[in-house]
Amino acid sequence: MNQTHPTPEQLVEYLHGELPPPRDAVVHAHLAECTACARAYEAEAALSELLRAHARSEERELPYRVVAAVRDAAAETVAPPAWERIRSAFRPVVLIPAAAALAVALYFGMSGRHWGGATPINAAYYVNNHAALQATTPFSEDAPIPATLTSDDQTR
Amino acid sequence: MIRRGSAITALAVLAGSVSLSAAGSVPPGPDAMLFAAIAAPASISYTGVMEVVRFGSHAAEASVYRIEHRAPDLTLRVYSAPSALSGDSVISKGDLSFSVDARRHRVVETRNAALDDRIAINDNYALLRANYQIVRKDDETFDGRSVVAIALINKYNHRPAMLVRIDRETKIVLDKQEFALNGSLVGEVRFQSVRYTAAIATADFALPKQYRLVQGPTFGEPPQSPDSAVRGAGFPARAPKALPEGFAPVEGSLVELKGVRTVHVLYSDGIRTFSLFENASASTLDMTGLQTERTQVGGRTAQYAEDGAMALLAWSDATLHYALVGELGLSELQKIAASIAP
Repeated sequence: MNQTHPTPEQLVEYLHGELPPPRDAVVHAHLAECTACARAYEAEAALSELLRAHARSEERELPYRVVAAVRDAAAETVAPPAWERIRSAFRPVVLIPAAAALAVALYFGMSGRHWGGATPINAAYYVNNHAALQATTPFSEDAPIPATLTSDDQTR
Repeated sequence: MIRRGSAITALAVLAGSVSLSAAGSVPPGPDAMLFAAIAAPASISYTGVMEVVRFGSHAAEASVYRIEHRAPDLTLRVYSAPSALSGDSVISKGDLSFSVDARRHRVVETRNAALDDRIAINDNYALLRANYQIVRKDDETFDGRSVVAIALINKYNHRPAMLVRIDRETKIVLDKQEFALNGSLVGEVRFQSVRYTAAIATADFALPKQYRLVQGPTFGEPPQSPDSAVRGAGFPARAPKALPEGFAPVEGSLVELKGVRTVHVLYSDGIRTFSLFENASASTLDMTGLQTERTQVGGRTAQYAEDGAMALLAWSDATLHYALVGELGLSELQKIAASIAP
């Protein structure tokens, strides 16, 4: 097994298909053998999908203060002196998910006090469980769109 | 609640009547035909194209897939629509299902233990016979094949809930339509370009190599009676005092999600179903991605959302968190919810 574990940044680049082909192949082979890195990759993919889903579903404008906070956070990130690191951080593959994650965190932090302390359970879990038990009724069919092909949240 | 065991006797009688019909002595009655249709995939192999559509009150979901079924329980579905699923497939064998995700180069394995719960399956069929009148309609032709059309009429509101078109020769269901109380179409499954063949290669059901195998959720494990699930909850779970006519609890399970112990009871009238989930832990419902609206349950604020044809109503009281899920309307769910009082 290839013992060189990819860095989180490389996993993100791999996820977005931005690694050079030789490195991409190495990471691909490593993920097939390393459970820990495969889990980290799954978590990264799930986060990306969550952010995309949230962006698609969210029809409301982000509050101005949230936008301003994101811009401030981004401005702090790009402050000198490490110019090369700033340039690296400004690559879309890093900046967009980070800014989106910050925006989501700030938004829920401001609007959803109910998140504090309680365990959040995804509603899809209830829907999927119902669909599974429903299979005992005559002529029941699978849903037109299988949840296992559309959701990144496969774990219980 | 229907008594477990009595349903098995009823099915044995039905199975016997189908056998007699098959021997050519008596043409099968509509109920025997219906039972034969439920049992047919266990002995008939086929290929074809399925078109599935489900209508919610605000949105619809649809898919098209090629199906290869080798009796008794090996099935391959290869999706061609919607485009997001194009090239994806689902391979199922018994209670195991493998979702082959071409985009992510992975296979998600799930298990649905409920598929092996013969008691719940038989109870549901007995409920169907108790709550629905099975009416044979005029014979028809569907996709070039002679079919027997059977309508299932609800005995309480006298409205058709389902229409199935059954291949006269093989007893495979070629078309199924479900209807809402107001008569509108809720969903349809059309089986076209059907070809009956036992010559389906085992290789067709092989999992692709080079894909990562991901362990997905296990559902309905261990399946148990509703009473048993409620007793094992570890908290005083409640049952609705008002159910839609003909509904009864048919199956229960205890699940633990992120450390939150939840009791799940499935209610059915033989065709329509809903589930009640209850837990006592500090938990919130993450409804990300759903269009939610606020409503009321017994004077308490509740959240309502629809996911395709599925509706979800969630609320809490002083001690428990509840979620009702099913293909019932908001008003029906609210009536059930309001009857779950401390």
